[in-house]
Amino acid sequence: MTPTAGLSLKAQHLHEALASPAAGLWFEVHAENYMVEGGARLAMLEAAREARPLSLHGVGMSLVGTELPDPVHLAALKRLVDRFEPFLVSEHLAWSRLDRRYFPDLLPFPRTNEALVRICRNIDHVQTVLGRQILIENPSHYMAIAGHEWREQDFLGEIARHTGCGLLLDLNNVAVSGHNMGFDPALWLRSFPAEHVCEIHLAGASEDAALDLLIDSHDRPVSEDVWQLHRRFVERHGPRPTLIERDGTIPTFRMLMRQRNRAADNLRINLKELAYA
Amino acid sequence: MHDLHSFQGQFVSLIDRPEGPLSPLLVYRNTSLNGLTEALADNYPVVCELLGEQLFGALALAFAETMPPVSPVLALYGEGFPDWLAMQPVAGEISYLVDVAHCERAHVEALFAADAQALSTADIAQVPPERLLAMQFALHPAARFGWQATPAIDIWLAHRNPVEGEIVIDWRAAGYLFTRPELESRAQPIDRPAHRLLYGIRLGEVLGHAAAATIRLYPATDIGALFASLVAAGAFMTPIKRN
Repeated sequence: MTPTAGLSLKAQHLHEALASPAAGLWFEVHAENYMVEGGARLAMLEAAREARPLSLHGVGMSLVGTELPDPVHLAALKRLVDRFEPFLVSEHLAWSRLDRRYFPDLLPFPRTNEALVRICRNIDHVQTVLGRQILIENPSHYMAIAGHEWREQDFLGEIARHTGCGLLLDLNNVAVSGHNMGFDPALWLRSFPAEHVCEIHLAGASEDAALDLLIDSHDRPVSEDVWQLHRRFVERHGPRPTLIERDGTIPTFRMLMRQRNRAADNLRINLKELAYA
Repeated sequence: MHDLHSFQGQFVSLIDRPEGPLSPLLVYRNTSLNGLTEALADNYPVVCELLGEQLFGALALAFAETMPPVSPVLALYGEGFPDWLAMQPVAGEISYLVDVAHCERAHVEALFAADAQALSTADIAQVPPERLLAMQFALHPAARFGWQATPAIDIWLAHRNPVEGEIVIDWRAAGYLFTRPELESRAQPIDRPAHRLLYGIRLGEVLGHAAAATIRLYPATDIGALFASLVAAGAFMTPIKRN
């Protein structure tokens, strides 16, 4: 089965998700939620993996840092990768750990040459330990950081070329960052190194009216703007496994599948066009 | 230009103390703190119910600031919360609060402990009693038990399985036992003899020693029935370790 459009797997949807006949459906989970020794949660993932391709999405490796990734955390990820054999493993262009303190967030940094070298070394290390390629996701931005020496698109392209990692293009993050930092997402995407993109994320954002910011909250449906970015990207560069990310105010499985099917339709249209070309 | 490490250090001190109510730094601060508050509420749902979301949220923030997590695995976040809670003024107002928190921690640990085959009633049925008494048993990896000055386990169970009408709690000192012989976790109150027997077995006493000590302390105990009930609860692991 070729994975087309996938869904964040939620425990409350497990039975419907396993019973779904949708062609190309796959599941993604946050790796950290399964870094436990045993029990029902791992058994659920086992069942999902037997039924469908699985993607492990990490939120805690803190690849942007002067130290190598936490060996305990990396070993836990390796155990999951070895056991579940995911078709994709991804992480973020961000940091979440400093001097043994962990922040459950994806924090920003100045894209300098120094940062580039350190991040490439860390990704190399993770890929060597895991024995496989990982994907790196573009994060959401909420404030200007001084001292950038690179545009984000070029920075990600350079990382992919140096380390052989793939990229996870989060189109909602592009839309959120575009709103918050004042750039045009469609224009920004034209310089994105599309040839390295191995997965796309779609999600909904919420508004913080007081701060006049969009927040990458994953708690509502994908916006029309983001759907359009998806369609345009696929038309230009071809289909990529695309995930509907949902982490808050979880709707019914049917509601989520409606969005997932729309993503699958976007990918299919392109396949037809490629066939006629 | 500052190097990466000093940028990160400065950024952390900024999100710890953001200036003004309209700083975008608040987005980062709130995401971090909300993530930790939600993780703590997931792991201590009955403490959250007993205190109300508002007070629990304030305590969760204070806990997160005093003891920030050292791991991104939030499924097990809040290990030190019961002991930290014991030092807060609210612990003096609700006598059973900290004991309930200890029960919740034991429950979470039982949920995520390693899988193992539990010793079954059929396993021990084949063994002659004198051989059984000479054997050393290992606790199942998910088994958690303790003794408390309050019936916190009854309060915890009443909140987890709510019934219509007023909750009537038999007020006494009580023990708790959490097990997970299959994928479903089980919780039950235990009495002093059960606690003594489990305690001895955890120390590595052979069953005969643990049983004799239990009967010395609590002569009315039907030790065979007690051991069988603990086996049925899934407290021990197969294979049987021979002494």
